Parts: sequence; C-alpha cells; structure tokens
Amino acid sequence: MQWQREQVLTLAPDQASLKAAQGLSAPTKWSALGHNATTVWGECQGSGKTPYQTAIDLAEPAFKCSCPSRKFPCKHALALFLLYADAVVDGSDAAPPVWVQSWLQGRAKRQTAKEQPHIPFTAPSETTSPPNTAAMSIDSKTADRRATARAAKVAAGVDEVTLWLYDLVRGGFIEAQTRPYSYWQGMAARLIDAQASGLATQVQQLGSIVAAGAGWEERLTAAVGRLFLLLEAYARIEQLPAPLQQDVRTLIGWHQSKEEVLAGPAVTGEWRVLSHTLEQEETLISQRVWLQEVTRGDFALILNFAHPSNRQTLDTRWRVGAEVKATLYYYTSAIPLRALADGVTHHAAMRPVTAVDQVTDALHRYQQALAHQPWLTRYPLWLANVVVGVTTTDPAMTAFVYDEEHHLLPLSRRAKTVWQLLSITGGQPTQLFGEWLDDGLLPLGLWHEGRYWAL
Amino acid sequence: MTTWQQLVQQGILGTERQPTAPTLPAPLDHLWQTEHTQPSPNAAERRFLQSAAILAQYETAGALPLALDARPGLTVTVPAPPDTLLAANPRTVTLLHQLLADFDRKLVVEWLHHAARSGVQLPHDTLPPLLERATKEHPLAEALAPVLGPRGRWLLAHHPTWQIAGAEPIEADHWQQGSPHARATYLQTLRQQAPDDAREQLSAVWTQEAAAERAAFLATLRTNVSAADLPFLEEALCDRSLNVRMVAARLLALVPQSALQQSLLRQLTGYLKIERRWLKRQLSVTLPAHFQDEWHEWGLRDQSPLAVRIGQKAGWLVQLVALIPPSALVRALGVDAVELLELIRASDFAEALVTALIEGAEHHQDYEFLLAELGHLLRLLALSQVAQSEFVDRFARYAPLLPAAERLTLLQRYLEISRRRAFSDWATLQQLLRHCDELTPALTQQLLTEELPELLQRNTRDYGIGRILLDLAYQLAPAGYPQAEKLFQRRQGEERPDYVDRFLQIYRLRQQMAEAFVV
Repeated sequence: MQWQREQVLTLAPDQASLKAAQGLSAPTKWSALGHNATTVWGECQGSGKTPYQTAIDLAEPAFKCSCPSRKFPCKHALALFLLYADAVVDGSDAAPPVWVQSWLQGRAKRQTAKEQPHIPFTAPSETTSPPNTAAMSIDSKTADRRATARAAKVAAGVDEVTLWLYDLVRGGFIEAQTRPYSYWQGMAARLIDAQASGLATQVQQLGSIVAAGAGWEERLTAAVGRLFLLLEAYARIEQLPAPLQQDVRTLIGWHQSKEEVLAGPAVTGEWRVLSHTLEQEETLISQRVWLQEVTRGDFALILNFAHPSNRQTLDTRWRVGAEVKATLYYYTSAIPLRALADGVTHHAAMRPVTAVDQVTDALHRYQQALAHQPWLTRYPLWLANVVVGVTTTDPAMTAFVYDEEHHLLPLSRRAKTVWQLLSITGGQPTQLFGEWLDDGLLPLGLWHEGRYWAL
Repeated sequence: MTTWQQLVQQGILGTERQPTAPTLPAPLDHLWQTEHTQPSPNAAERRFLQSAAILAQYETAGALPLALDARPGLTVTVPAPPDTLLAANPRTVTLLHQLLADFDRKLVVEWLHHAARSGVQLPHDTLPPLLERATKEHPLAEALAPVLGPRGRWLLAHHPTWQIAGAEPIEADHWQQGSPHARATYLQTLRQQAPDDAREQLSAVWTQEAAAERAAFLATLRTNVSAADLPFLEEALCDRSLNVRMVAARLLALVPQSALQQSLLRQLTGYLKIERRWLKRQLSVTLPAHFQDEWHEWGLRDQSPLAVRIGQKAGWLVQLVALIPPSALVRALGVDAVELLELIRASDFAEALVTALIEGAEHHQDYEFLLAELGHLLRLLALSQVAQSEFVDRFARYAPLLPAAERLTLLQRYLEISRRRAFSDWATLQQLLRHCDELTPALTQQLLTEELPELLQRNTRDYGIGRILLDLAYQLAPAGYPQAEKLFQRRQGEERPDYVDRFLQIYRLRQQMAEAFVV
C-alpha cells in the first residue's frame, strides 16, 4: 500500500519539523535518491560538507539519518518520506547503497534477536539454562520488600487524598474554584511521591474541570464521586473480581509490565486502523490508536506515551484507513481494550465497513461496559447511519449526531472536526466511529461514500 | 429539582454549609444506609462522596438517548444539494492537502483559480479550513467563492460566522432589512444575475430613499447598463440631489442610445475639432460660450472642480470631456486613442484635457485609453524624459482596470526599456509584478535565461535576490520550471542559499499544480 502524503505528515514530531521537512522536500535538495519495494534512501546537503545520509525502512516504517538531530523522525527523514509519497523518488527496483544495506542488516539482526521466544514470568523452568534458584530467591525477596514498601506508600497516599477530598467537599466547589493551580498540583505531586501516579492524574483532572467552563459543577461532582469510588474499591480490593482488581491497581498507579502483557493470550487477526491521535499535555504526549478486528469486531487501543522532546517511543506503524495483520496482547481488565501489538504486517486498504449500532444500541453497549468497569470514561463506538446536526440555538449542545429513530448523541466539546464531518457527509447518513467521553462523542473517523476518512 | 441537581448544589456550597445530603432514589438508598449507621468525624463528607459515586454511575449507566424532537431548537439536517461540478482528480487533491498543511495563501489561491478554470469542485474535507481562513482573508475569499459549489454554500449557511462575499445566496431580506451596504451588495449581485429585476426593485423604493442611498444604489446599475435602463436613468437625471444627477449622467453617457451621450458628443465635436495644417493634424479647441441649462442636470458645475488652474469656460469643457467615455469621443473624432492623446498634448489646455480624459477613462473603465496613456509614458521613459516612478504609479493606478494580458505586455515593454535598471531597482519592478498575474512563457524564459543569470553573476549573496526570487517563484510561468532548476543546479559540495531552495520549492509546486490540472 502506497504511503499518502497526509499519513507521512502525521509522523512529524512537531510543527517546526513539519515545516522544515516541507522545505527540504524538493528533489534539488537531494542527491543519490532511490528506492525499492521496502526501502527509500537519499543524501541531503546540510550546512556541512558531507551530505546527510537518510534512509527509511518502509515496513514499519523505521528511519535512519546521519544528522545530529534528536528529533525523531528528523526533518531529513520526513522530507525524504514526503518525496517518496509524492512519487518523486525514482528507481523502483534500485539496489540500495552500501550504507543502507549495512543499516538494514543491523536491523534484521536486532529483529531476529527480538523474536527469540519470550521467557514467561510464570514458567522459568522452560528456559534453556537451569535457573539459579539461590539468586532467584534473593531477587524474589528484594522484590517482595519493594512491593510491600510501595504498597505502604500508596496506602499513605490513598489516606491523604481521601482526607483532601473530605476537605474539598467540606469547603464546597465554589471555594475550590478560587484555589490556585498549586492547590491541585501540590496534591498531585504528593501522590506521585507516594507512587500513586494514577491518582495524581485524576487530581490534576479535577483541577482542569474546575477551570473548564459551563457545566463544571456537574462534571466535578461526578469526577469526585468516581475518585472516591476508586479509593473505596482499593480499600476492598480483595473482594473484587481479578480483572477489576487490575483495573483498580492501574487507576491507582501500578502498571502492567510489557512482559506480563506479552505473556498473556495472543489475539491474532486482521485489524482496521480506525484512528491515530496524539494528545499533548505539558510534559507528556499520549498516542492513541484505535483498532478493530475485521471479523469479530473487537476493539483494541494501542496507547503509548512520550516526552515532547523525544518521540522515539511512539509507534509509527499505524496508517489510518488501512487494514493490518497483527497479533495483539490485551492488558488485563474487566473490559479489555488496551493492547500491545506485535508482528504488524500486510498493510492493505480498508474494506467496506458496515456499522450496526443505532444510538440506543451504542449507548447501551457503553453502559454494559460501565457495569463491569465503572471508571470507563472513554469507550469506542461505531454508529450506523447517523446524520450530523449543528445548531446555534442551544448553547449546551452545538453539535450532535442522530440516527434513523431520531435518537441523538451530543458531540463532545473537545471535538474539533465537527465542520469537517458535516462537510464530508453533507447531511447524509454515515457510519461514524468515535470515542464516547463524559460529555459526548468525539468523532475520530467515518466510512463514507466508499472510503474511510480520518478526522 | 432532581436528586442529582440537589447533590450538585450541595457540592457547590460544601458540606460545612449544607451538611444534609439529598435522599437517594429508592433503588439506590440501601447502598449507603448500612455504611452510615455509625457517626464518624467525616460522615457528611463521606455521605456526599458516596452519593456522588452512586448517583454519577446511576445517571450514566441508566441514561436513555435524547430524542431529537423533544429537544427545543434542534432540528433534522436538510441534506446538501447534489454536487454540480466535477470531482477534482486525486493528484490535485493531494496537492491541495499539501498546500493547506503549510498554508501558503498565494499557492492556495492559485490552486483555486486552476479549479475554477477547470470547473472542478473542492474536496469536501477542505471546505472548513478554507472557509475559516477566507472569512478573514479577502483575496482567498475572492478565489474561493467561484468554486464553493453547492456543498460549500450549504456549509456556509450552517455556520454562524463564516462569510464569503459573493457566495451567499441573494435573499430578499437583505434588500428589505439590511444595512445600506448590505442593500447595495444585494442590488449589485442581483444586477449581475437579473438586471431588469434589480432596476425594478430600486425603482419601487426610489422615492423613499435618502439622497446618499439613491446615489449608492443607482451606481450599482453600472453593471449591465443598457438601453432598457434609459427611462429610469433619465428620471434620475432630474433628481434634486446633485450627486444622484452626476451618477445618472455618467451612466447615461455610457449608453450610446441615450440622448445625453448623443448630445454630449454633438457638443464636444463642436468644441474639439481635428484640422489639417500643412502636413500635420492638430486639435483645435473652442471653449463653450456659455453654461447650458442641461449641464446642470448632468451634474456639471459653473466653477471647475479640477485642481488645474484654468479659466471658467475651459473648466466647463473639461467637465464635459470627463463625462464621456473616451472611446466614444475617439470614435466620434475619427482617430485612435494614441493619436487623440498626442493631439491633445500638442493643444492648448493639454494638461487639463488629458486629466479629464483619464478621469473619464477610469470612471467608465475605458481601458484602451488608459493603455494608450501608459504606452505614452513608456515612450517617454525610453527617452529618459520621465521618472520610472511616474510610470510605476500610473501602472499601479490603472492596473485593476486593465486586462491581464495587457498588463503583462506593458511589463514586458518596461523590462525591455529599463533592462539594465530593472533588477538593480527591484523595489520598482516588485511594484509592477504585484499588479500582474502569471508571467507569459516568453517573459519567463527571458527572465530565466538572460536577466536572472546576469543578476546572479553580479552578486550571489544579496538579500534582495532572495526577495526577487521569492516574488518570481509565484509569478513565473510554470512551464519554465526545468529552466529554473537548471539555472540553480547544485554543483557537488556546493552550499546553496536557503532562498534558492524556497524559490525552487514554490515554483515546483506551481508546476505540479499546472500539470495536475491539465491531466
């Protein structure tokens, strides 16, 4: 499947790189350009005497550039990719130069090493060499001590945030609204010290709700209720079903390690790539990729985080509007959605989608999920034959979608693509994919007139 | 007030001020009753938080979808009318997305012009970002309006703040209830589409309008003015307002069948006569003997309004000359525009009469006469008898009235005349380019093979060259791109200035656009 220019643009680490790359995406800037079915390469003259050598492995894609930039991909790699997307790079069966070949060989070696069987945590006896039981015993004791110490710190954090919540509701939200930013940030920082980063995030969100305009009182009431429910659940965690225990632990701040997740059951299938969004906060970028298994319709969320100055941990393999073959490993949850992906191959154009959920069905599906995991605040919905509506007469709901039965869902205030959605559909029914948030639907893509549109 | 609303209210006030929590609905009440049988120091807060936890889940998990019909103010969406234009080909769509990502207004406008010429519609997903920007950027709005298509106009009607002049459907409301400006715009638009309707609508309210509005509305009839307008215009010529009479007179002067134009020409050919003396022809000027009554009706004044120092009678003649479209006078005198200008320049009252003719040409948008004047200035420029700035100022003033091809011809002649000076005085050339569209392939070739190499040889690191190249990148004919690429071919190891790359990047995009639209 040929890369499209828009898809390449989404890989840019920031606006500055995007602009710089567009400036460099003229063939006159490049020499020794070439490509074959899997690789693109070229040399770009920079400010020094020696041109930068840049190559792209199209399979993932992966990038290499000899420039000193810390951004990833750098402007040269992006520019080269843009040239390729624009079909400017000649030589579809050219042999790569030596420096490209050696890079590809290095990658292949690393890939082979990576593909060695995982050593499951639960079955050390299956490893090829006999385990050192004495060393394991020491490690296990150290790990136990650490776990106990952390649990104590978290428990102290939970106690502190509970008292803080009591103070908050005692003084009232109107008083909380006058509190400085440091009031929320200070509590969040203490929770991070208590190794309860999940709770810290929720406290920060309370601070954001207070400053978020109309309807904040209701949203804050619901949010403090959910937070209190979590604290109560943690106090009784042993009484909960195992998957829900994991949800509670994750929400408090324990993370499932990749190794744990990859040791779980594998789900192999063909997946539609429905959306790819980057959400940037002060010091954190969240990458969210929604997938849907083509046959069964299961959803999966690939979620990665990165610091804004270092995006290398983000996953560049996803092209919205494509179908891929991949093996997914779900994180343990009462409603498993988040997953890790492995062996992503065979990109093909998305085949026609027929959504089946009317508004009532979709809402019911979310409510069913909520009954199993009460802190679920973002949930994927595919709506069938909905029409987009806008209005200027109702300040509480400026945009919405409605189905054939005239049941409606409001669009979230966070939706920035309402007009694009309206323009593409022209008031005609469409198959709409989005995330259900606490204030409405966030549209992320649609199947309309024979193609998938990313929003 | 619902239980949830009562709880939110308690949350706003705080449990210290309002310690009593609302009673939960019956199915939920048992969930916390057992919890709070024992008093505790934070009982009120715990009860509030637990109620919030329970009720928030209850409200969310049990919510039913809203019904469109039950929500006041919400209505079904009337679908957009079907597209009437051709879909743009994928290559042009990709290019537009590329241009929008790194928004360069000039290139986007060029894409829109290509689309208008090819009769293709905008990709639907690009309408919102374009409409958003066009609302604030007039040149973009001008280029966007013709290619909006039914989908664009439909979208525009839904948005509370997007406005694109010329794109909105004309609505009678604007005429009945709009501001004077909105009403004039309405009339102007209607005049383009249905000239007789526009005149009839104006005629229906004519006596109720103030003088300023009468003059402004009447001026809109300039579009598609014809013999059918004569009765209404002749009535306006008797208006009590001088401004209205002046507007009416200028409109009547445009219509060959009008009594005013015929009378005006009869009088002017009496005052201005071409006579042969020896081998030369010359213009004999006779001043009017007295101020005629009908001139009052035409809006003429006893005292000349011109700044030129002339006598009263010469002032009357000058006003008459300014009233007539110069091409009508040229035809009546049996000469061409260039010849008439030469004859006038050799006559008495040369300065005042040339000024009057140019005023008439500008007012009546009579570009042939303006071309003749600019040609005259170019000839003087070649003889170094006039400053470059005078030609440039006039060119800038007349350019909006001149056809694009004529502007380019003038530019080419300017370059031929001032070849050595053109690039050294880039600011001057830049002003001329600003009023030209795309350069012809021949002119492009000339610049790329002759002027630019010479300029680059003279000074390759001049900041001014960067400016020149950036301007030219948007105006050179797309077909010349290979020549430009060759001109700036990078030699091995050679460092090339950024402005050259920028120039080539823009120019190449324009070449790609031209090719994509041809396909």
